[in-house]
Amino acid sequence: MKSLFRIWMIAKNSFLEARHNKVLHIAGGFAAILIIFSLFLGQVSLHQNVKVVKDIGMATISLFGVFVAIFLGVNSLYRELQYRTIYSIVSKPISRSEILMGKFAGMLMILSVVVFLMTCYLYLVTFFIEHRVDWALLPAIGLILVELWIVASIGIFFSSFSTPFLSGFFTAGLFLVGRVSSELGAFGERSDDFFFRLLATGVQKVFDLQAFNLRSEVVHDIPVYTQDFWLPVAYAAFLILIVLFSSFQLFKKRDFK
Amino acid sequence: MKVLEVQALSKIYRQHFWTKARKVLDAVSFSVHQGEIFGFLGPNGAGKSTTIKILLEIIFPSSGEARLFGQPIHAAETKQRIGFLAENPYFYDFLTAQGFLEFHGGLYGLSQSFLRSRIPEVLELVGMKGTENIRLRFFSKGMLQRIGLAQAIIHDPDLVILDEPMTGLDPVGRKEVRDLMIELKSRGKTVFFSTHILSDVESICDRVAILNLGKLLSCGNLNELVSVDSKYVDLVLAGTEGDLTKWAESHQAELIHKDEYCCYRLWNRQENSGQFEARINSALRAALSAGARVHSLNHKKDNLEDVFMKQVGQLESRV
Repeated sequence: MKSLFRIWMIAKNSFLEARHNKVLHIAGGFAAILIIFSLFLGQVSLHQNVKVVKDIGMATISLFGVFVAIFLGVNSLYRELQYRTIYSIVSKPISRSEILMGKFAGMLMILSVVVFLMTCYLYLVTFFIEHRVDWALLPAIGLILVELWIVASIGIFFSSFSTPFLSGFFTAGLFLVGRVSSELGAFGERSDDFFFRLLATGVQKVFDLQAFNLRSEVVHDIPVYTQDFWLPVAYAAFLILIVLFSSFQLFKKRDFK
Repeated sequence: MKVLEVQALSKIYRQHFWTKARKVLDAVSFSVHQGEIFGFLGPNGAGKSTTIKILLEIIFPSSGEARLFGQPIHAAETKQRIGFLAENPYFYDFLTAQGFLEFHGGLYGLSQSFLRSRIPEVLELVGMKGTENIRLRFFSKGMLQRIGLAQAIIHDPDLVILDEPMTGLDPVGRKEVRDLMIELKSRGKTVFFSTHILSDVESICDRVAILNLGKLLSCGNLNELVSVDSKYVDLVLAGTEGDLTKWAESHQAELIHKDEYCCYRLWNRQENSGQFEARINSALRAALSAGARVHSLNHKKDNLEDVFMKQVGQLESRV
């Protein structure tokens, strides 16, 4: 119970810190403008106005969310080390795994708030066009959020032993690999190189972020089944656990010089 | 009772596997007793902060052992009894003083209801009463140092570890920090602090340890450390030059300065205070009989700065 309270204190503080970050405010502004811009794009499409707005809107939520997840994932922990605020925290009766858990929980909170606000904004814009609330978007947006949690955990993993630049680079790289892993796998299956085939199909099986993309389905009214949502969520939980456990192992013996 | 015990603590840094290893702490051993103010002295790069970081598990030792309250440093209950202020601390500037202390108090497991009554008390103790609702970004360096002290004592710890607590403080701020340390000691708390401001150490410390280049040079009671070193007497005399020269030779007095008066120095040659005083009296009598006039006599005792400089050596030798 005390452990949970300590994790909560770190999470709350990380959340407040992120809330005051000007970079996120500016990025949020850009995302809002992008959704408004989708209205104009919708106007030039043939009877597809609302679909274009929904598609671009969700893509914007995903894009902005990934930016926030990477930015916070690689900076949140590093800032504590850079400004040496970690000294005061480590000197308290709190374990390093609790610190990392708190940081991660803080990121989950801020990402959830960001996605929630963007979703409200998207619903406002779509309501303006079709005068109704399309609840069918929610599973897709839910999976976008879960995908962001994975990206944030990867950012934490890299920042537990590397600099923000490298961590950001690796996290963004891994995210892109995850997003194109289906294509990578298909490409690998056609390859003559045994090792590339093994690697490409392996990556596709282990790290496939396309599983979190239900956007086309919900926009084009293709049926979404329960397992389409819950299986990726279970897969995400498994992935996050592994990534966080690896981060703990690296972080627990790190010298904070 | 030993509150803190360090045994053969060493720390070796290696930037990369191809770079040369650098030993920043070399088999350091010392102990701190309950209820004392312990000064940890050394020039920049001596290893003071490294030792403190090891004690708080901010970094890990390469070898050796440290115990707090008789338990290994990684025991969770030991950290509950420690308060710590880092050197040149940076705090979350978006928080108010109240929010900042609630955060740190929360990490010690203190309840919000307890903190509501405790925070004003602690702020008053560090001279920051009435600043509860001010954001830390509006605090001066001295105020940040004091709010840092407040978070270190919010849970009423038995041992307070302060890394260069006087850095950046004006004379008034330094005095207030010194007074706070004395106040903590009067409440039975132990204070362990690192510094290179020797006058602060001399005025409040019970015991000190001197560290240089990662090695412990000496450790002990402040009075012992200061008095074991050489003392001397400066005698300023006036008289005929030939007589004084003869007198100086017979009493092994060293001529330090000569103008209207001659200043001679009589060194203590590992004599106890009685023997040394007898020799001074004898030398004085002889000088008077030789027709000299005594202008002044000054007992010189090595202060902490002299001891420190002797042990640490000149800067050139340290580089």
